[in-house]
Amino acid sequence: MRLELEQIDHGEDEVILRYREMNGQVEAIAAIARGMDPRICASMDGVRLLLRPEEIFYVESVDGGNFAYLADQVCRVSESLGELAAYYGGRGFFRCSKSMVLNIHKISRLKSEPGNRIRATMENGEQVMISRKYAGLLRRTLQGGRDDEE
Amino acid sequence: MRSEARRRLERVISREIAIEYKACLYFACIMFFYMVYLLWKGIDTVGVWVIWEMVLSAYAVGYLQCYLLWNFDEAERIGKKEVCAGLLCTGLYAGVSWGFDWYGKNPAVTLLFTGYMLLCYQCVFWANKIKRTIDTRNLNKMLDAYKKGEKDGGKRGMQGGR
Repeated sequence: MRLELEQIDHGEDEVILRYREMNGQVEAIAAIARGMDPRICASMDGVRLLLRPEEIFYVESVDGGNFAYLADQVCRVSESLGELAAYYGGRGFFRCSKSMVLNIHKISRLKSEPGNRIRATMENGEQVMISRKYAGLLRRTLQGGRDDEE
Repeated sequence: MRSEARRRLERVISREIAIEYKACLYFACIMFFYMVYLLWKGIDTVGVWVIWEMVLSAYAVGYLQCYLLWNFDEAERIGKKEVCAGLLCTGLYAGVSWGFDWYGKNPAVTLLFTGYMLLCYQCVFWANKIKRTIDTRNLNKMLDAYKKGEKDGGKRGMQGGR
């Protein structure tokens, strides 16, 4: 696909897509332009990537850096956990501990544990324990009332 | 700093509430056995001091359970350490009942009381397990509904965020 960028002095920013037939690539670009397909900036081995939130299982804060865990990859993301939970809360991102945000859509099973905690088994088999404090927030989120309070 | 202090305070308060709940539960169990014992003996009044002794012993054992014995009656499964903890608490209750002369130092009644307290622990363990099983089922139902709601482009999917 040929890409042409033109800087303008006045008027609105504009994206014109010329295509022979509508395909996945064109649809994706159109969705980004419409702001309907948000991407999360990430990097892996020095390569910059744009991740779709749906690809991410969870994001964990380790040694001051935030890492997004995908099905078989781990990438560093620049956004903070608070930002991720706030921006993508409507897409299932949920702050499940001080150092982790998980994607509810990637949870395969939940289990009630002693002490009002919840064990979440992710689609890749990993297990995340959600403490009593965050378990309450998860229940409210699942019931429909998204709650961004810490 | 302040939020850390608040978090600590919340943790302590939630633990205290758990102890309160346990103390009430086991006090009710002990009281029930004691009332049956008194009625069997033809007595229909309970001394205030005996009630105090029962309440305080239930609190003391509640603290022990929460802070030192891994909250064993809420455990996921009964293992060796849970059995030992249960026996220890039951033994403590039996010892207190003997020491404070709740059952007239009658070994048969004290033994019966010991068995009854063990059964109470077993029942509380089962009740907690059933509660968690039902909760797990509800959680997974809510999870499925949440996922379905978002796939269908429901309200939740569009709610807030990017």
